[in-house]
Amino acid sequence: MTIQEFYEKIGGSFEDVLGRLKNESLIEKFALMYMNDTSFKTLMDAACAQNISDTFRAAHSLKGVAANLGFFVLNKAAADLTEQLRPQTAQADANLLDTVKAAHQQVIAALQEYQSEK
Amino acid sequence: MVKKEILIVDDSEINRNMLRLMLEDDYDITEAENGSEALSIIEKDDHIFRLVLLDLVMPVMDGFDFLKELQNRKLYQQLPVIIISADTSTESLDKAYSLGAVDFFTKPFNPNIVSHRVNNVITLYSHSYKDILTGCYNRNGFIQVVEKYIQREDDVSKYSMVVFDIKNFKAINSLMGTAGGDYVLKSASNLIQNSILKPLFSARLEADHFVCLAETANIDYNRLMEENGSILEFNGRQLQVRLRVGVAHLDGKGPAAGYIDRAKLALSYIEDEYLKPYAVFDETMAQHYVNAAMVTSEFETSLENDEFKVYYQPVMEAATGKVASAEALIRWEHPERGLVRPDLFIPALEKDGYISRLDLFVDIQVRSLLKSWKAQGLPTVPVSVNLSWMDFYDAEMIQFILDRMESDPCGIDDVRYEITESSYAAIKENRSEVIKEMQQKGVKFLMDDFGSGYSSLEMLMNYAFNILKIDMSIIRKMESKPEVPHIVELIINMCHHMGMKVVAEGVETEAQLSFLKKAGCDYIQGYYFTKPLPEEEFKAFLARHKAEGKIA
Repeated sequence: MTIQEFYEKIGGSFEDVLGRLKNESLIEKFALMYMNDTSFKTLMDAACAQNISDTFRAAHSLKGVAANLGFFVLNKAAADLTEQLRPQTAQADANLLDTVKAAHQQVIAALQEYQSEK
Repeated sequence: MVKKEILIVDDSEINRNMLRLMLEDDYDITEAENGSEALSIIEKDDHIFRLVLLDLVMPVMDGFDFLKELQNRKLYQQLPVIIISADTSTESLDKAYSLGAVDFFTKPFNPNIVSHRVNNVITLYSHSYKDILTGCYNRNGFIQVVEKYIQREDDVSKYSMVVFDIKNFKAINSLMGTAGGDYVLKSASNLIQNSILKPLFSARLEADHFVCLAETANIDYNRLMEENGSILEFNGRQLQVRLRVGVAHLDGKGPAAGYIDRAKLALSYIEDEYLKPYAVFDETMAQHYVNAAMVTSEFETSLENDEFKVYYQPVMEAATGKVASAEALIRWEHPERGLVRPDLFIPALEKDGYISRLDLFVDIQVRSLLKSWKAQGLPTVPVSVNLSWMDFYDAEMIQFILDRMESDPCGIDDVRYEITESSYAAIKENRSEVIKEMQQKGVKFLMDDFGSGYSSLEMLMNYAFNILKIDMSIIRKMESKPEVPHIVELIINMCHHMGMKVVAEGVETEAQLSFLKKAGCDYIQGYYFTKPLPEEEFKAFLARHKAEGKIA
């Protein structure tokens, strides 16, 4: 799998990231950094603990990271969740949370596949 | 040059790394994970951040609280903050702006936008530490960055403070106009920044004074002088820009401003403007080191405390070796610093207008001394008192001297006045008639330090000086430069034709004396006969010469 194919697979835009980072090996480096990123775990922990403000914060962070990495599907899912949580009056919506989880898992799976083929 | 520092505050390592990647070629980056960590980095005060890039939503302390804390710490008002948030809701941005943020950009980061906005904001906020004309630091900015830099260094002794000024800058300015002068300043700034010194920081202090901090190992004077004197062209005119260089090696964690003063002081010790236009500060200068602020702040109390003493240097008749007169010289016996050299405190006093009070003090002292010695039947000779060019801007001062002359029973020739060439402009502007009035009353005037600067024949012709004093810098060159004795001879002849007597200052050797005698010089002053003497020794000197019949 090439890095372009990885982006296609997760519903991201390689061109968008290339336009910003200019360099394929840097894109790869940053994409792989996502495997150690804690935003998703923080989000899930906060949601489990039903801490609304922490959940909002983590969703917001995940949205930013996904935007920077060009992971559009994940970015959209995190953005929707962020907006739902913004008033900080209700717990995270389960469906929105599931969408984020699915997008995250798809990214991780694709990254693992990309890494194993290298 | 050392890069400017930016603080990135974001909880995501990926985001921080991306920004770092976009900025680290041009800036020195520090990262913080949240507002609280960022605050403690700022408060540690060993960085000089020119910008903070701030995420809004973070654990522990978010961006809003960070901005509030920053506002509370008034010291950091000059530190701009750009918001870097995925949250671009109007409400958030409104809140961030109201807390002092200056700009924002959103995630994902676009490198062009990031670098432009960062650059714009840093430039916008740079007026307090940048020199607008040259783009380098101004004095404040330079001192700020250097202080922090040397605080962080374990061994500062490998660095030097190097001060520059442009030779004849005033002349360049009047020749080329302000635009030309500005062009020269910018060029000088570039020359310094690109010189072999490889400065860490450089600044324009004021006017044509520049400074940089560099590693002492980079100071190769020969190469520096090769680079010096580059030819610039402005409006089709060519001119050569020569820098004068003063160096102070760092020796401890002292204040940056102190090293700048030392390097500036070294500038004043440059002896040969062409062959060796540089000087390094050393301890002998340190012993004499008096800063201008100290001089003017302590002047009044020092005067009251009798720290200023009048010394007398006898002037001898060349042909006979008899005492002809004396020059009153001021000495400052500072309780802590010891004897302070007049060439260090007099310019400071001239600058702040105190010099007239000192000149007046000397005049009063001399007159009362002569009066009391005469009353006691002790021998006296005419004593000359120096007048500074500043005195001629002070109408009251000159009037005071005139009044005293009228009321004083001292003989009119007991006190004479020495005026330097540099006073000419001031006299011409202000008090031309006073000199003439004094001369009509029979007061004798001496032209002092002739040949040290822009020797003015016009001045000699306009005022009937009685005596001309050839500057010691000329006398000292008599043996090393073959043309100088001829010049001295010509000056003596010229003076005699104009009805003036001549004093040679700074005579130290038998050879100098014998040449001057042959050339017809009337009077000799210098260590060959005696150094300046305190009052009691001067009294004894006169008594001894009187006993030997050696008072003219």
